[in-house]
Amino acid sequence: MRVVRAICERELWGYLRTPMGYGVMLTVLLIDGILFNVWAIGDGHRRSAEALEVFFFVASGPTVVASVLLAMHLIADERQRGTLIILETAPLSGWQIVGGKFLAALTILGIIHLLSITMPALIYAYGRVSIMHIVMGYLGLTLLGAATLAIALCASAFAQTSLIAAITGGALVVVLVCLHGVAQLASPPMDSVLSYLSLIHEHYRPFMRGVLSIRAMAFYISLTLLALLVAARRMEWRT
Amino acid sequence: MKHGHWIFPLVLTGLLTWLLGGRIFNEAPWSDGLVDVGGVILLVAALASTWRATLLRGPVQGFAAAVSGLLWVCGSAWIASELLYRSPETWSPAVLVALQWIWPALLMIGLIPFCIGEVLLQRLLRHTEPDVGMSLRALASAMAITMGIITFGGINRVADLWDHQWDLSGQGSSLPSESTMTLVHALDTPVVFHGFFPPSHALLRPLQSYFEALQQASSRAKWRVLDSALEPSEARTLDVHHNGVIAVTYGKRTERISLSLNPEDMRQVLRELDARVQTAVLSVSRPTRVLYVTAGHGERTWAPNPEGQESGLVLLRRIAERSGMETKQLTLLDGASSTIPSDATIVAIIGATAAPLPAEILALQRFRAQGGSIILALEQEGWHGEELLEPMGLTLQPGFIANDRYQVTLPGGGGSPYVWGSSRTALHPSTRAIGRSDGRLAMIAGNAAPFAMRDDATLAPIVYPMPGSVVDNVVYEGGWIFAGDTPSRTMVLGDADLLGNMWMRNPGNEAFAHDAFAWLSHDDQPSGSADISDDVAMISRTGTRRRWFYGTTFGLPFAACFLGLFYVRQTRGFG
Repeated sequence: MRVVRAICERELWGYLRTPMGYGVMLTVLLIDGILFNVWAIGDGHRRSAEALEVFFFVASGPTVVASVLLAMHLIADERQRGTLIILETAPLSGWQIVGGKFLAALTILGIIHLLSITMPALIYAYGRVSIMHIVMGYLGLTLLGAATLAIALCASAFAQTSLIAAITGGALVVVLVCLHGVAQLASPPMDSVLSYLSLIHEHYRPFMRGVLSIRAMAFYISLTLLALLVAARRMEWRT
Repeated sequence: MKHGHWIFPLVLTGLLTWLLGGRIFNEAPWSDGLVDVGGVILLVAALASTWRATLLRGPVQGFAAAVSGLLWVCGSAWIASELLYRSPETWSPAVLVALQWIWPALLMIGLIPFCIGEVLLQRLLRHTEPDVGMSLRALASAMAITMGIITFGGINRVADLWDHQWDLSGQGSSLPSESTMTLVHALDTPVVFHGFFPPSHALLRPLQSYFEALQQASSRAKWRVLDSALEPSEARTLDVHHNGVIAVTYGKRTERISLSLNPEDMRQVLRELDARVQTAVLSVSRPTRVLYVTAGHGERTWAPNPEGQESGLVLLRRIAERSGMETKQLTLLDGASSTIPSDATIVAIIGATAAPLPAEILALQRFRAQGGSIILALEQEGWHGEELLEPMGLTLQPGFIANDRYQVTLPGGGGSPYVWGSSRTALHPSTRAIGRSDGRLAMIAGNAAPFAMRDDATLAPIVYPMPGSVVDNVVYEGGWIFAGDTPSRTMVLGDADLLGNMWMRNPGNEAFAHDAFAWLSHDDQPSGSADISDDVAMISRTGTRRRWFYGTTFGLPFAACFLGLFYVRQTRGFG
């Protein structure tokens, strides 16, 4: 665990000591703020629960994009710069490397979510929503972000450069997001399988409405672990 | 091709092509055929892999033997599970489900490492000093990923089967509106709400709070929770066949409200609950409505005309009865010449060829003055209804409405400007069927005469064809008007055929008749709207909104990032 923490801290400082981390943070919060004011609050006639639901819906987009951007350089960039060899030759398991990097990116995502809390706080102050609705929304956002991060990290583990990692990770995420639409064209039983694998539509909606769903949580956690497993095995394969 | 390297992928591709081709082109089912084909693929792959291992020498042979051994294990497990599945009656459903899940798992465990092993073998064979250790590690990785995918599938399958949801939003409560409470309080006898729901369903709690509030407001309301599975006889008595239904019983009359049991629809269900409860209570508590159709003046009757069914009113009667009305005939013998029966809600005079007697006109005028509703469907060649229309300020005009733009194509091709359709109507709360169609249903009319309205007419047209659909410039010449001078309501038609069987077969005309009965019996939409957890709209003043915008979009994010940058610069500096 100490090793994972050390890698996590190293990565975290890597984000915070370069403009890249702040750039991603500011961009996401800026887009979140605009979407919140324009879409979620709109003309002000939306009821508070609905406004909160819409906020969590619009916040999912920037979160997914930020996850891909944060994860793209985690391994591929080190490979490109030739520093990955240090980790590969160190007595570290694939899980430790991948786990540390993943936790660092997840922490940055958590900071972004923490800074965006002013928006639901306004709805809470001026409307009639419960704290648990906000908590559930952020839980969903974090689980979605973690799954996207893990997928993008997996792409980064296979890619030779950051750009290829971003393109591959982004493509994978887009495919998973669009699976719900594809499911409409497929015939049974493939339609239900494809619909189930859809990243946002099928599993994120309950969280937006303040509903805690076992099925949705199991999907996001298992998808995150699967993607991390593939990334970790890929690292071990190389060493 | 010395070692037959490509035999295995070819065999595999051939089998998969055959399987998928059968599925795609012959639309064969995935189930049984897939099980057999999957087993065959595994065994063929195992045989081929073993043969392949015998062709190799040195450390590479050991690697190939490991792959083939794995395939043999998977193939054997496949056959064993399929043999077990041959006699499903001996196994519990849980075992059968587990067996169904074993097959795709075995297929993956066998084939993914097989394919990856084959790629690695190709690499090993190209090197003079092959690193078998690295290949074995790669094979182990492939195995681990396969197991990960299987675990992912298993976890999600179990979570899908045992899904539980908890609504923590705090929005799951609803309260009855003032109008519903007043309505229930005004009833003579108790109204019982039987809620058929599974005992621990998430919807029960908010429903409980809604009906308890109703019970507190009026001792007339009673709330009971039942489970249709546990109390089938009671469910049968109330004509309820599944859970998710509220049966509203008042005396001997029962109305049912079906609700979605999906927790995600809960908020929508609660939002509509009060209006639906109010509609159901109104429906069970109102007195029976009766439609009288006059006879004896050459009018259309329920019976089909001797010359054919087209002008009969059989379909109209069916629609009236479906709208919860009792239908009766009113002749001179019933005393229509002196008075209209006291139970009459609507009196319809449809296509009279001779004018009613003065005493009958007087009776009809008295009926109107007391709030009764009248349908007056006139014919150009018959009675023009002057005695009744004159006090309303209406006159039937000579000639027919013709419209070149909105004419209807008749069966057999061609069309006539005198047969036109109207899909746009001025809406009223009682025009639910027309309103719900959202302009898709067109009411068709033919050979209808126009009306003229005097400037000093006291009645107000309420529902009429809108400009731009039937007639572009004259609103009231649409051939039909719903008009009212409180408290009576009258529907006037410029053609009696509009209510005949021929036009009533058109869904638009059917919806029109349905709405006409609703409007004439004052069955307007209830005003109830649920008060859901007293949620409020996010209205705020412009100044506040501006502060929100700058604060959330720029203020805090920029401040936090600058503080972060400042802290890092002070403590460690930028790397």
